[in-house]
Amino acid sequence: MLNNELFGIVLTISLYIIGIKVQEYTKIKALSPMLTASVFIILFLIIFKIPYSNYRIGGNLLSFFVAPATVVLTVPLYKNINTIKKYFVPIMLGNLFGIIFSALLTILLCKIFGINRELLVSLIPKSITSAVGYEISKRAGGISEITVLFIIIAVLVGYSFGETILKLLKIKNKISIGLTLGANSHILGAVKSMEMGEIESSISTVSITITAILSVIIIPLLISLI
Amino acid sequence: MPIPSTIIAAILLLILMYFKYIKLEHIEECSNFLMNNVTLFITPLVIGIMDKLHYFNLEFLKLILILIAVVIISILATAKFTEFIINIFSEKREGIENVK
Repeated sequence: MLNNELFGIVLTISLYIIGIKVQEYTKIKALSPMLTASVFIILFLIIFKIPYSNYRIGGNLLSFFVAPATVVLTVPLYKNINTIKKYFVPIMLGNLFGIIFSALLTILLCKIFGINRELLVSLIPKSITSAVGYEISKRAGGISEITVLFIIIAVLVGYSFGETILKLLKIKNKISIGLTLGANSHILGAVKSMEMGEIESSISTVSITITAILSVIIIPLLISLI
Repeated sequence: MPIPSTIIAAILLLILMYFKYIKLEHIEECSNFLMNNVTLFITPLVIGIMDKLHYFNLEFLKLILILIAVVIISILATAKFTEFIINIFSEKREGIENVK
């Protein structure tokens, strides 16, 4: 009975909706419905001893939409095309710096602490929007499911501490604030920037896409150097 | 390494929109739906860690700590670097003002 597409789809969507309700009820933005749903789905499958392969049939149908959802990341880029034209060089350089700095620091720390290559490769794409990060990790020989988990944690860290760090550094420039939040904690960074102002919000939305596109080219290059 | 098809499609879409072959109103509704629900589509991918539970050990804990450190330091560095770049450009060119 559980061996069809409907099981995975219904289970995911219903627990995701519960996740949305939990987020609305607790008013904690960091409590992503994805996180709540994932925990409950995993518990559900374990408690009722349902093999992951049964879930995956329906799950795959849902995750098919990740690809088109990645393609339409272009739309916010198009909407903010004037902002991009105006601040083209700082946006490009800032995002490029963010990607390279964070990848090199990850490699350095992992080498110091003796982390194996497979996990290191899974960790590098942590600041990219999950759909693209998953893909990069898979292609580079990482464990893409674990990359998604890292991405969620990175987003939560950026969301929780980003604003405080920027305040401590006395960064007041709106471009810098938006870019930093978008490039380091993408979707929740954009949520945070939205609370701050229009320029911050549009720069950070743009940075999510630019970081994703640049990462696709740069991260495999950096990984091939390890 | 070949570029993922999604990124090629994204760049093509941007070009088509820029030259007005595709108008925003053609795809806005659909794109909003996809973007608003992207975390739902990713959820099944997260469930994939069920098959990877043997990775959760002490080394994994070290990785989480590295991850947190990297994110915080990267935020510091990116913010400082971007501010530095903007300061250079706002001195050189008038087009980029130092928005404060």
